[in-house]
Amino acid sequence: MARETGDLLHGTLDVLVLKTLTWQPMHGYAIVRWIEQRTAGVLTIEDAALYKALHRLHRAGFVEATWGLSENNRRARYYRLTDAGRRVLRAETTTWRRFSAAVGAVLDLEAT
Amino acid sequence: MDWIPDGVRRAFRLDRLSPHQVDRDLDAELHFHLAMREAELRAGGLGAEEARAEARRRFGNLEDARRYCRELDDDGAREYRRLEWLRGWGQDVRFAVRQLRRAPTMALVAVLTLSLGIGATTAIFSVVHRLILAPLPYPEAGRIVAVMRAAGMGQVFISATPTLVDAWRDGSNAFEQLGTYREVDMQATTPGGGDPEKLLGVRLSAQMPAVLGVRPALGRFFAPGETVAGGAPVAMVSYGYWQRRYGGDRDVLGQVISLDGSDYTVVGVLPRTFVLPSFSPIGDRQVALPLVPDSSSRSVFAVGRLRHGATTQEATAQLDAVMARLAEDEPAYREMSSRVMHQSEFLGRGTRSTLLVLLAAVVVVLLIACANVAGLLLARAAGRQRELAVRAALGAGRRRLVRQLLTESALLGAAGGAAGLAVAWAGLRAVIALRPPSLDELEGVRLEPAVLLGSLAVAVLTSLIFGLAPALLAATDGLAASLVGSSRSATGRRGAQRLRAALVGGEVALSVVLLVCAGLLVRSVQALQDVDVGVDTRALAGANVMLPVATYPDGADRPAAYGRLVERVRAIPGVTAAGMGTDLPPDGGVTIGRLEIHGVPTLPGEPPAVIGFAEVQPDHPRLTGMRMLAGRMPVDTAEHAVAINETFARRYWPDGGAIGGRLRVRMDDESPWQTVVGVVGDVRLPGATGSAYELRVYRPFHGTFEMATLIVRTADGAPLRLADLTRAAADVDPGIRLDNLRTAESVVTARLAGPRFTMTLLGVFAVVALVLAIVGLYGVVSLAVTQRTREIGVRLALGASPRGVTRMVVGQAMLVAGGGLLVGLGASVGAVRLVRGMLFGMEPLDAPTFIVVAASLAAVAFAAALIPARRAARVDAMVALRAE
Repeated sequence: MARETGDLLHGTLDVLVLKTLTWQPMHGYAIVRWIEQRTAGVLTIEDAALYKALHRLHRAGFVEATWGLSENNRRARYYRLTDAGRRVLRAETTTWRRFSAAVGAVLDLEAT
Repeated sequence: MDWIPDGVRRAFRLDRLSPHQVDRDLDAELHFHLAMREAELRAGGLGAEEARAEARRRFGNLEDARRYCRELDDDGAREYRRLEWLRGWGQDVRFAVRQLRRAPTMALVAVLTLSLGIGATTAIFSVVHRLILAPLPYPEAGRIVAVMRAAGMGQVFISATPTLVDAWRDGSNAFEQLGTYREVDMQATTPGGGDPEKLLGVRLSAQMPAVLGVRPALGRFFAPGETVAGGAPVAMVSYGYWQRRYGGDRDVLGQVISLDGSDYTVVGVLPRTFVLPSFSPIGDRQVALPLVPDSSSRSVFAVGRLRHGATTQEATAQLDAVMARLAEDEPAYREMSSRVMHQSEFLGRGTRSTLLVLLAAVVVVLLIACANVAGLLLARAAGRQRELAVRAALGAGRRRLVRQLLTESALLGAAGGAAGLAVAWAGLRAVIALRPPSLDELEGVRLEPAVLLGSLAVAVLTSLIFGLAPALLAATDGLAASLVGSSRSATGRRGAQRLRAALVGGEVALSVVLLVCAGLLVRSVQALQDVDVGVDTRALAGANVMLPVATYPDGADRPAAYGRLVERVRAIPGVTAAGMGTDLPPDGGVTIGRLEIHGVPTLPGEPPAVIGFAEVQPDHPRLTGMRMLAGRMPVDTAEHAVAINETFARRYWPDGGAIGGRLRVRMDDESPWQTVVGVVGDVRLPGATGSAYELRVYRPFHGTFEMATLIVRTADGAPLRLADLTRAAADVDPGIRLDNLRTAESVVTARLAGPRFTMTLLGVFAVVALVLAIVGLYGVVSLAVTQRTREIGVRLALGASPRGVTRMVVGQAMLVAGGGLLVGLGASVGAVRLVRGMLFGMEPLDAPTFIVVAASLAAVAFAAALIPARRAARVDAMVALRAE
């Protein structure tokens, strides 16, 4: 599971954004609110970081973008997961789970 | 757009990708976010101002984010634009192919036409490139020159001697290196016995590798110690010989090879391409030995590499000065000069101009081909007005339309080029196979990639230019009008028609020029063939004879040996007569000197004359069929008598009385006066001009040299075999060597080969040009008839007779052809001056040729116009009028 800089994910935020988009296409603001709501405020995403992540994912071809009208008649840029994005998300999720399990295993060890 | 998110009411077009747009999009996106955040905060109770500030604060580093995203977006947009551009081209090509498939005949004709033009041009250009531009395959070959001695005011070349070359080398600074070589024939013997192998060899001086700029393929060239007298016996073998005889084995180095009875150690292999500059480049040498400079007068061929920036004129001047200095001590050098020449100059002016004429002819063919394709594309464009109008109405941008049309044209050009490659390859093979002896070096010509690319570029360029015309026509024409009515944009159509007619007229004119030139050459070759050679070429054959120096060291013994040889040869079945001489007629040698006629004052400062010279036996006229016009042949060398030919006698004794006249060819003060005792008929070598062939002097054959020519007359239909001759010679003396057996007929035929070759090529080009022009004419007339079907229907309905319609169509076609014919004939008057040098026995403005060409062209054009004209006559008036 090689990590190639620039090509694969820049970090956890990118994974979260991808995961968010599996529900439905959203614009940037919606993604922020969605993550905040889902994590009950535990995770607050810095807006600037989010947009950087979004554009990064777009350039890498993991999401595609189009313009539409939002709920309140404003012009917004909507993002959607691509097939490549889906594949990458699956891979990264597996990696993350293994990683977290490993960390957890170490942390669970009790010193004797 | 099938993924509009829920709740979204309308979608706009996809991001447009200019940098400006990218900027605006990004701004809009970020602005949206801030607005949403602001609204959320206000809903939570904050005031407007605070909400805005808080939203800004919560965002984080806005400028940093904007910069980051902007860079990514720009990059993405660039890549997208690139991909779209490529995809557009792919689409265009696929579309163009589909369009061309819909008009297969037109496409096929266009490709064939282009391939003819491109192929012929490429083949001839390759020849010219090899022979004139880059005849030697060496680095900076432009600096490699041959250096020769010239006598008789530079009219005749004599080879140099090693001492002279040394003097040249020391006395001039125009050369970076000056080397010499000498061709030798060797016999290689294998240690195990068996027949000795005859090898072509060359002796190279130490400087030759540097002159040519070559490195050995294996081993080394000769070391300084080996190119002097007493040096170690070493040799090099050629690349081909190395592969063939030694299997390309590296062991060849150090092996011993036995040449002419002596052993030599092989120290190297010559480079793969090893060509020696000469009258005709020498490329077939199998072994090389060192040339040891000695004080003998044996001739060598000098080759030099000029210093950077030195010219041949500079070098010649310096070498002449050296020879002038030498002349002070050696009077022999007084009348001599030097000549420094590039390999391409050896071609001889006649061959050079022939090649250039062929080049011009082939360019004309290419022009005609391009004009034809242009006409085809124009016609096609006229027929596509409607299709283009529809596409434009459906939203295709004009630029895109033009681009698609150009792609079609470019495809045609590329296909024509590819097919042209095949034509060029085949054509070149044919040219090489049919080459005359004077162009023997054609054998090494290959298709030059540079030339092929050039031709392809021309073809694609032409296609683009002439594809552009219809594209622009389509764009500027009233697209709407053509949608509504029938293709009635009459002005546009008539303009295109006139353009096509003019193109065809031009083609006809060009092909007339080629036909006239080819016709002149045909008549010229005929005239050459009709030349009365002056001897019975059908019955004569000759061979070189060499008496062994060992057996006949003294000149006094040799005449008897020759006499015995002649007797023995006479006994060969089929031989009716035999004799000795210096040459086999109509070949002959020359003598150079100041011609003095007794009783005729010589003008001071008159240059030395080059006069044909031969030594013959008294029965020479009977032997060869040469006419004896007056007097007799000289018999004895002591007589100081000569026979001269008819032209000579007429020129200097116009009132008769040549017999008894006295002349001498004065080389130095001791040249004796000779008395004319006989006048013989002219012996002519077809196509040869110059005083050496007009004036001939015959002296008695004395036979004191070790080399001579055996002249044999055979009964009709009895070919002479070298085996018979060698057996006869062996009977006299086994040491006698005979070679170069040839018939007089073959000598003449060889002379005709060159002009015949040119005539054939030019004829082929002229016929191709004519065919293309007529095809073009047919196309124009045919299309005109189709387009004017309605008009013809009206005429017929109004009472015109079908014959009248035919007459009208043919008449208009002949107008175009006739115009082209007149222009072509006029241009020919000027153009034939270019081929004047290639003609023999006729003036360039040869009326019969012009007339025949004009009549033939008119007839062919008439026939070509008749076919569509008959179609016009068969038009059903009612159908034509009803059709939209």
